[in-house]
Amino acid sequence: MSKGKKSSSNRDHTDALEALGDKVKAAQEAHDPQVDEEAAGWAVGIRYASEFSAAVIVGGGLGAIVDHFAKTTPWVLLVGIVLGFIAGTRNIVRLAKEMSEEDGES
Amino acid sequence: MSVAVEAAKSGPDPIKQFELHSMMDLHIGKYDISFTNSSFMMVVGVLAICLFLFLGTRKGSLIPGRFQSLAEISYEFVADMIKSTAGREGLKFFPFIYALFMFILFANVLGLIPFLFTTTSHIIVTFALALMVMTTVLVVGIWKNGFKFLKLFVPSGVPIVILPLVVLLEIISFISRPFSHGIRLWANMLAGHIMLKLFAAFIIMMFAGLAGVAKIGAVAPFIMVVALTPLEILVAFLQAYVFAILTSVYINDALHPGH
Repeated sequence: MSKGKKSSSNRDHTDALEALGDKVKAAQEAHDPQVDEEAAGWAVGIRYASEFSAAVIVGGGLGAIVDHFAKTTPWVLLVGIVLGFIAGTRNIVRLAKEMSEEDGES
Repeated sequence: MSVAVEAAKSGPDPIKQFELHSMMDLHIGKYDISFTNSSFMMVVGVLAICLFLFLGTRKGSLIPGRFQSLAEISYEFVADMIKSTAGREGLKFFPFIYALFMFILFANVLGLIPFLFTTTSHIIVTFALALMVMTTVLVVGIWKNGFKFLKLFVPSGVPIVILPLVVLLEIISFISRPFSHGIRLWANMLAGHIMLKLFAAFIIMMFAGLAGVAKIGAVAPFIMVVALTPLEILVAFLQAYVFAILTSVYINDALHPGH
């Protein structure tokens, strides 16, 4: 009798604890500071833009250097810019993959 | 008041805040290496970091005080970031990444204080930082892996026919890293500061330009400035974080090429 009572009071105790735990969790989630969507979006935008433009700049730059030494102006430059566009697109696809993976985890 | 009216008539120049002024003229040969306001703010930033860490580590008590817990947070933040992206091996580069993170963070945040210059709003500064990172990655990668490091440019599972093209693209993509690394930080800081300045200028222009009750319209840009300022503080932290985390990602590439 006394034993049963004790265990039931124990169960009450754990129930109360669990309820408190749920409460704390809910309160924490409610207070969890949300990252400003707009600011984060802006940063993401500049990240994409820089990844793409950097590849085009490098492709064009390499082409211009080759042109300068091989005296083939402007043909390698044109090829380089096109390759830069392709590399930039690959950069963006890779970045988008990384970002969606990050989102999936969190 | 006359300054405000003048500014209202012509519109202030949002680019003026990025001008360099020589504080001490120095020339070596034909090179101008004058000590400018940019160099001055770099020195201020480094001194502020030293002061911050000095105050944080002075006591070294078991229960940290205010400054000590700030210093500990900054240490743990960077250390955790490196561990999660580059593993335990990456911790060898902790001093480098921590120094980069703190320097950029202090440069960004100090630049938000009115009348102070933002060093990271000049592309040559951010590009030099990015080149430092890329030099480290190249040296470490070749030193650790030798010719295996070149595997980084040869992705696995690509048909032999288009392999040369893919390798060429990978090389362009690799060289573009320091550019995108530098451009990203620079563009964020530049755009943010121009935006703040423009909206602040709109307040003066609208207040001086409009007549009577319409002056209330100047409240709109004022609200924008109030909203933009915390956003800029967030961006200052975020960009320092992004720069540091990408640095450790690149160092991870150097340590373990051939993903």
